[in-house]
Amino acid sequence: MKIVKQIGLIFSIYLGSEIISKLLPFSLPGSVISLVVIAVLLATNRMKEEDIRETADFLLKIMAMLFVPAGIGVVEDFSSVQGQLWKIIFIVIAALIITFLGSYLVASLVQKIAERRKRKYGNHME
Amino acid sequence: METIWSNMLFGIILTILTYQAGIWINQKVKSPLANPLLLSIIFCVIIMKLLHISYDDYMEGGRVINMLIGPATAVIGLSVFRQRKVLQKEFVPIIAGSLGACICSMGSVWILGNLLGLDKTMTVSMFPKSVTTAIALDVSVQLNGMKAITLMAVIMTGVLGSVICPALVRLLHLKDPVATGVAMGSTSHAAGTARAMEMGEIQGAVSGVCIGVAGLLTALIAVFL
Repeated sequence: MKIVKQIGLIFSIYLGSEIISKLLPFSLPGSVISLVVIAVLLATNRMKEEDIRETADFLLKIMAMLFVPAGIGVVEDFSSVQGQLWKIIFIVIAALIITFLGSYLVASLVQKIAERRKRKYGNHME
Repeated sequence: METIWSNMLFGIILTILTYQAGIWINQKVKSPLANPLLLSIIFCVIIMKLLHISYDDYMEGGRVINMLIGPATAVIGLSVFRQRKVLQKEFVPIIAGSLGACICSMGSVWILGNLLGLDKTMTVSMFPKSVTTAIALDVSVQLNGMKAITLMAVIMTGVLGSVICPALVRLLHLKDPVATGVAMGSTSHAAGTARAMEMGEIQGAVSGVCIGVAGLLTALIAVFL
């Protein structure tokens, strides 16, 4: 019965979030809302990890497999991509390198700034 | 025979078996290029072509698997919650780095797409390419993009990223473990995180948090696009 309850709870939260998504004046995906709802419910102790643990771990583990049907859809729909494929590959690779370096630079820069501030603050304390 | 193929269980079984085969090959080959999802898709398509099984027949079961994507995205909330200590400790670099990644990713796709004269719908479809598949597909719909292009770009970014990102780390002698984790997770989602875990504990943990954070930020930015 435990697993059934977990499935019921997770599915209900997801469906509820889909409803919230439909009611919002702007378009935020229901899946993203449900992610936040679960994180907030757990963080505020309104839900315990045990309430969803086994089913959640199962879903997280098989996540990649869930995209197989969609992937087959891409192959079926391949004609829409043909001719543009090399452009897409080029953009993916170029954007990948830019994104990685941009993200790394920002993340290491803010740490350096925080460190310097801390040092300054430390000196004042002396 | 046709009635067997259109049985709901057939699509489910085909997906599970090919995915298991994909995992098995991935473990034997030990290369991120042997991505289980990619292998599974290829095997399914080959089997369907050989046995003349239609996409609609497969999708009787495929739909059931598809249906689980939403709930599976919801429980990413649990994995974010589990990593709350890392999130708290490295809050600023995680948020700033993920935001940097979102802006770089969308910005570079937009600029390159325009330069290469790529169809506008296709360019938009590639905006969420750096975030986890489920969120990327939803953001794509939100932006009136083509799900097929988004899925392709997301898988390519994951597979290529798990090869290119570690190469950049080595080539440029990038030493900051937190920043490396942030960049891996927010650039190449789960595939990047798998590689980040091999690099070290900090890199892996931070990268894992960034999957959720970058996904969330991308969806939020997309609200204003």
